[in-house]
Amino acid sequence: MSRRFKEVTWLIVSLLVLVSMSLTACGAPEQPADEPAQEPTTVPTEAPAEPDDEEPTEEAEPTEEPTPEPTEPPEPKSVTLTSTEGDPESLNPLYAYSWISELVFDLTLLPLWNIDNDGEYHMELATELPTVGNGLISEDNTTVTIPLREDAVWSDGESVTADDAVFTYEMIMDEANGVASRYPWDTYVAGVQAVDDHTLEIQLTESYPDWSTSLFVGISRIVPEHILRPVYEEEGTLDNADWNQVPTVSNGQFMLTEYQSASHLIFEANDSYWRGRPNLDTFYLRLVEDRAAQLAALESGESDVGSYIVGSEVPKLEEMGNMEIHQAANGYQVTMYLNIDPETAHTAMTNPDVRRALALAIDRQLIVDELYNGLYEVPASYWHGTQYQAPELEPYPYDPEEAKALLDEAGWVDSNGDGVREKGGEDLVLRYVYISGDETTDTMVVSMQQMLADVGIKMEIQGGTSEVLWASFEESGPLAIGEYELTHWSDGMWYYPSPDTSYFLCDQIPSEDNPWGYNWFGICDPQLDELFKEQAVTMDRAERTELFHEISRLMYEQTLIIPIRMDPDVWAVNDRLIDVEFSGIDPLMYVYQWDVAE
Amino acid sequence: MIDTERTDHVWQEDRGQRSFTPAQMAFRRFVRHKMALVGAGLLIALILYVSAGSLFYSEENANYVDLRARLSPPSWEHPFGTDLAGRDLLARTIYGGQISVIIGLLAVVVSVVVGVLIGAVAGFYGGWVDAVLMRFTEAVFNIPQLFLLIVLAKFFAEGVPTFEILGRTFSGSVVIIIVVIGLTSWMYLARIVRSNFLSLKEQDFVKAARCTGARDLAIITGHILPNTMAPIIVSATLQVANAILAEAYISFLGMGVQPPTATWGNMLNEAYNHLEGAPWMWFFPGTLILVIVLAINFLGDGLRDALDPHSLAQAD
Amino acid sequence: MTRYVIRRLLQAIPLLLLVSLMLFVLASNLGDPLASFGGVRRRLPAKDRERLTKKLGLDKPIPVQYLIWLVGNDWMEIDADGDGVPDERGTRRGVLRGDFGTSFTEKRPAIEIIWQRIPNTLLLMGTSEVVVIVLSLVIGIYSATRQYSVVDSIVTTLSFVGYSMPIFWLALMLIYIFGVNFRRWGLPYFPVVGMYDLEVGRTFGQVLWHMVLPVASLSIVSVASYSRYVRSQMLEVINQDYIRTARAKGLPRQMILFGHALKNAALPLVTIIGMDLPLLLGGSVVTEAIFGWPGMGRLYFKATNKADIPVIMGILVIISVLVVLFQIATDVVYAFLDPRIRYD
Repeated sequence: MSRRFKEVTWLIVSLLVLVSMSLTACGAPEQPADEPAQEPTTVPTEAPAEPDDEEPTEEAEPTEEPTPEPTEPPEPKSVTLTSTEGDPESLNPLYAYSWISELVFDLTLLPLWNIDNDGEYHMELATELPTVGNGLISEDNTTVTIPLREDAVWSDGESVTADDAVFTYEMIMDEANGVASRYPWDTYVAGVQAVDDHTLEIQLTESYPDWSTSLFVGISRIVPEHILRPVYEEEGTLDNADWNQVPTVSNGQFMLTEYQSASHLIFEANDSYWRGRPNLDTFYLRLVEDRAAQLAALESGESDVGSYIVGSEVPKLEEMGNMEIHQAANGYQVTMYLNIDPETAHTAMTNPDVRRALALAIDRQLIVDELYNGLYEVPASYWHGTQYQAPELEPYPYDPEEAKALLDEAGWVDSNGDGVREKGGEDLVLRYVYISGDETTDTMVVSMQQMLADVGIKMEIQGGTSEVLWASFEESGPLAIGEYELTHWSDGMWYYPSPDTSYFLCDQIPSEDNPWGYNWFGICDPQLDELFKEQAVTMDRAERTELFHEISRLMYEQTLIIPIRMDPDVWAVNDRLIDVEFSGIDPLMYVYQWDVAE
Repeated sequence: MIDTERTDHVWQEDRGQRSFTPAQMAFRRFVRHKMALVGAGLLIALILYVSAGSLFYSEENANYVDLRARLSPPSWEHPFGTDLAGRDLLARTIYGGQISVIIGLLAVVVSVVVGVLIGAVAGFYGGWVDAVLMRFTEAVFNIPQLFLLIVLAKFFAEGVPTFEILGRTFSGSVVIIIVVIGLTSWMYLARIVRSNFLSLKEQDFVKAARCTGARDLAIITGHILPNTMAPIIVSATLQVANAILAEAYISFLGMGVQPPTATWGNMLNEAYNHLEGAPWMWFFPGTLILVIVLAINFLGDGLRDALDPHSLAQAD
Repeated sequence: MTRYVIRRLLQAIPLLLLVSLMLFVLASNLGDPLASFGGVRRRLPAKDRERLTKKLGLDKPIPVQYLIWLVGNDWMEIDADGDGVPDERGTRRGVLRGDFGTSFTEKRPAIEIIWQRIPNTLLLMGTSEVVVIVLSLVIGIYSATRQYSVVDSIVTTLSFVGYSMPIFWLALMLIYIFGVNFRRWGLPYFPVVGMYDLEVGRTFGQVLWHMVLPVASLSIVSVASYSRYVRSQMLEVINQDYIRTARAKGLPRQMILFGHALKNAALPLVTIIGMDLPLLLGGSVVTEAIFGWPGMGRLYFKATNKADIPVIMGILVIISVLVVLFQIATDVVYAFLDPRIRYD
């Protein structure tokens, strides 16, 4: 009996101990923001006095390095950048499509040119930007001649020539290669030729204003012919080339020397980069699982540069005391898309006043201020921040009273007092489908639900992953078949700074005959269609701008979409690095100038 | 292993007094088990908390979003603090607790039904039926529950729309999780039931029942099943704890019950990124999970001792 | 014995096939892997999506896809270029011939991707398993020999608490105390991300240091429950007649303990630990996610999110095979240890 009693006493005591331990551990919740953090910024976590049984550094995939490793100066200067995007799916531009792959290409492969945040072109492989004015574009705008620099070399010594570009084009168009995308080559390019070793000629099928932001720039890069042609000839395809996973030659700022899946990529400075060897010796690209891990790494100094930072993380970063926040506009914004297809959406959605009420009922500025620390702007249209947005447009105001009035006028009234408006027996219940999993986004959606509830609209939330929600029309993906009223995602112009988009075209609405259309919003406005089709082939900037002013006005009036916030690239940089700059279009174009403070 | 010493002990204690039915004896044994009583007490307290709590806080309280109040530490207005969306955590633990407990209970119902069914059929009929069912059971058992959970949860991802019962809105994912957890936890029980059936069906009373012409179903439900109730009850009780934990795991990974419906598990998911900044977010739901699982484990331990004095894994 | 093993192995095969079919059906319905082929910030143009769907064979009915997965498609014509006309021999040899297909997300053979991760998970799990066995035995025996003492009560209570804790709660607590707060208080702290510091490299010391918290999270729960089990087994055994005899004979305590009692008490532990492999693998998913450990569990989780069928199936098949083999091995070991057991 007494033993049992003792057991129970100890149980209670232990629980109390546990509880008090936890409570003291949770001691002071908030540090005062102006207290400087005392984190050492140079050396990462201190390992204990471990015995020196060092196993040789393992290389997951040994690379065939023709060039010798750069001899290390006394203190190799290195930078660690963390990314939460997961492994690059391929390190061959033909097969890559993700942002992280683009980061790798920024480091290792030369585009024709890079574009900075002001829209200025910085020549890389090309020496001059072709325009009609300098004669490098033909009068009819269909032939583009690009002079290439002569001192660009691959890291094995081979010269970079126009033949590499032609080969790349051939490989993209070759049916045997399961490339990620053939767009826009298959639509706008008639042919690619090498006039001579260092002069490239591209024939366009028609005047295509976005050629300079999509061909051999951005994620589209030139691959080495001398390495890949033999592979192609032997295997009939490039799909399984080793080079896709472990590129053995580069012509850019750095060379890849180690790649361990799910863990890291290591890049060493490229002596043969045409600008000369970068200041940094080693660039580590570390793949971490999620944002929490990245924040932890930034805090401990294991990481110097955090990528894809969200506004809600900024206070924590500022607390660290040694982080600088950089933003770079990239053409992306988080937009709420509305399904207005009368066949699949709630009847209320076809009424522009109801849509306007939705916009007025959601306090987007509050969301940005509370959830993202006011870091972003609330856009007025899809082209916010560019010259293409009609200048008089302002973001929809927050006006719940007006929203209620509009809804009343539209006949949606709450007659049975259950908090939800109805009309003709139908409740005003809207389905909100979105890609969940990010806590700030989840919170945003939940607060929107509350805001709509405050004006009498009931919102049903359905979250999921992109694989489930963006499944194709044939797989009955909920967005593709219109089983929703509201959704949002971050999107932008594909070839920013080009304003082009074909999201809102009538012929992009998916159907049995055209299951691959991606106008999942049911937007079909003949006037809008006209304008979009016209701008796609308008080479003159001023004319194009006018067209987009029209477009943005039209979309604004009809409340076809509700822009929520801008979504620029946000980076956190440890202040031990100097001369750090980013571009929203070609993020890592400036790494060659980065340096480490002494 | 039958330890006659122990049963003798029990008889001796009551020698000279009135005799008890097995159920009463079980109850007396249970009551002597102090830990089990503590467990039962804690459990009752928790169930009171989650059910009676809804008298003080409405569901609206639990879901009311107030961005300006987000991430506030415990205060008079919000005794447990607020979460990412400014919702009151106390209210959310109450409503979240309801869901977690319901999921735990119903998932066990599913798994008991499936487990007993399969175990009984396999044990009773033996032969190739037994062989096939047992191989199947082993096969499913071999796959780690979490792996199965993940795949099944995504498989049924959009299956069920939100529904309302008794004025409370439930996300369809609740049903999915119940089914999924139930479908991945029946194996252990099936094994136990089967082995019990195998041994019991050779007993005389079953043979006698057969002689009198009783049909299979009657024998199974009327004769054998009642005699295997003990391990079923014990296993089911402990399973509730596992089910609650399983829900917590899968919600933590983001594949469980979807927001805005709260469960203790997905509250922990939300808290994961705010370990130091807002420790109240994980402390309360985490501790509640801990306490309820603890209570159930104590209770189950006591039940095991009470109902099955022959069991091997005695506490002393 | 050999006959027994062979029989078990043969029995396992139809089992595994059945399971693989069930899992394949599940895995094929996780969503459209091509949905995110445009990457986080892009969506794939329609024509490309259509072409790639055909190329990956995802437009075929599921039983056909399963067949191809199992036995390959190099014996039939497939539509490799996505133009709707099957005009080329396939290149897949199927799982039965060791070809797990190519991952949808990484364009590499699935088996390569998995193989890279397995050692990391095995390292974590193996270490945890060893820690679990050693600690459970030590704690269990200590507790049993000092029954009714204060230490015993504390240990029992902590055990209850320990195995009632969800692993991730434990992990978070550990991170909070030893990772975050230790650093705040200036004590040597444990790292919370990854397997090693990139700058230092993959040294023995680094990996060991990074392993401490994850292994602790994984093992504490198991230690809690197994130590209790060992304790009760030991108590059971200690009260047996033959122990009393040994004591009466005057054998030294140590010898009784380790020579007689332990052997008998540890036997059932072997089976239990054998059954525990699936649990550890499962626990690894969460632990790896929290600690950023590049292991198989995390890969599985990511693959299910991306509906990457070859990788998902590859992992599930490998796990099933591992568990079956492990179980057979456990039974054999059990038979070795207990001369009373004879299979046939």
